[in-house]
Amino acid sequence: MRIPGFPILFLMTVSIVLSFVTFRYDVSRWLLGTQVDFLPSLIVYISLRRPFWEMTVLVVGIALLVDSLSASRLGVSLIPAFVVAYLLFQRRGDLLKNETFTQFVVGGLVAGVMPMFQLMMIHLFMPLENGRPTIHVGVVWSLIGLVTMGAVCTPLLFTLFDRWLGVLPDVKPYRPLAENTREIVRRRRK
Amino acid sequence: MTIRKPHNLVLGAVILAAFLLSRLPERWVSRAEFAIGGVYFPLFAVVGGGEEFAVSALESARSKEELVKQIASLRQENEQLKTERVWLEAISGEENELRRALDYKTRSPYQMVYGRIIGREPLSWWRNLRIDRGSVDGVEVGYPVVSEEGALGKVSAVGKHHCVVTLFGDPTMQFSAKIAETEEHGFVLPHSKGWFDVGYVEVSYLPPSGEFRVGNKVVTSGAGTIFPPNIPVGEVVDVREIGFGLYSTARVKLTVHSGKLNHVWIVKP
Repeated sequence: MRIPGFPILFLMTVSIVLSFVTFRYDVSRWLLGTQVDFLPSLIVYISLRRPFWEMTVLVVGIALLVDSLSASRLGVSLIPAFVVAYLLFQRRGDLLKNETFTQFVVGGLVAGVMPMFQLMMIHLFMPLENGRPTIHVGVVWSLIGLVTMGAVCTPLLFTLFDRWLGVLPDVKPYRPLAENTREIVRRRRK
Repeated sequence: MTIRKPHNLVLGAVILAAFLLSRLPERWVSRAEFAIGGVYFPLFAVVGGGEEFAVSALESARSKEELVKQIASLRQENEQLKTERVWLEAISGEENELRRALDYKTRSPYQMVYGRIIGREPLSWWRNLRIDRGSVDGVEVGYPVVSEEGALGKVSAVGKHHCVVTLFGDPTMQFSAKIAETEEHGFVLPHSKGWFDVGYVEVSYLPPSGEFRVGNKVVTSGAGTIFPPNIPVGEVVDVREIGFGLYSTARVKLTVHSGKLNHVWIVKP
């Protein structure tokens, strides 16, 4: 039985829990010098699987929640997250979104593009007294970590969420139109 | 690509909302951030309670003999600290008498507020912590934050029950410090390759032919308005000259490894 409004509640709860875990337990940054970020993978899933209004509510909500935990000014993640989600949503008919490889590539791409977009927004919109992050070689390492995490997490999220939300891939498995009907049977006439 | 008009309108509305948010006064934005962050309160409570329960369960699993040994050790440490405090109060009284004689402003002892770390910055390019003390506990923006090993940052935003601590190494965190051994003053800046070495900062604008060496201690100078003097900051790891010998910059390994901390102390002046 499908409960109306369940997917949006489920995805919002998962987003809150995942952003909380990233905020509370910062082991990866001390170990690897880069943080774990589930936000890009979540955005890819939401924009490729959910309807437009649901995507809007979820992406805006997640972006504001992440900003509320970060030193970045409130709203800085809003444009990057929504523009990326919007572009994916518009292109979702063209993407082979049920393929693990596509999910891997799109997840990695979004995980790489979003932080760069966010940095650009900080430089454009944040007042100078809030400080500006310095951009140097270390950014590359951080990006490699984020892209890897995004690429690995996205297919995982698709597998788990599709199962939990009961989303069936919209591609039907191949089945021949008719079995044996076009076979030319050669046999001797009696 | 099929672009629908209502979708474009929503995109425009989101961009406009983000732009308006960026133009709001800092005070309002800070309040809104703490209000939205309130969504996480139940999680903080659940996780905090769970961690406390786990710690108490571990404590109760210890043997009686072990606990008696621990109490004895703590009692001894307590006695030692009490003696040290008496000694420090005597020195402080003497210092204040001398200050009075010289017509200087007397120093009052600092009040410390204990705070538990409840979260860390999720983005790579900022360095801060969130602790469970806010305006109701008398915390204000600009108060220094220290641990048992040394200084680690300052309070940069305060909510009712939480506050944000900006750590050394954050792009916004700059303050005056000195080399303890040579009394040479410099300015602490974020480490320019800090995304690799999160435990390092730079002390810049040090004299070009200074006497400081690798291994020297760096402490707060007390020259700024944030930190009291002589609180440990770190240790010099290497030194290089900048601008054809115009000044020197020392790379400093921070004394406090904020990633390993569970609690901090806010110093109320």
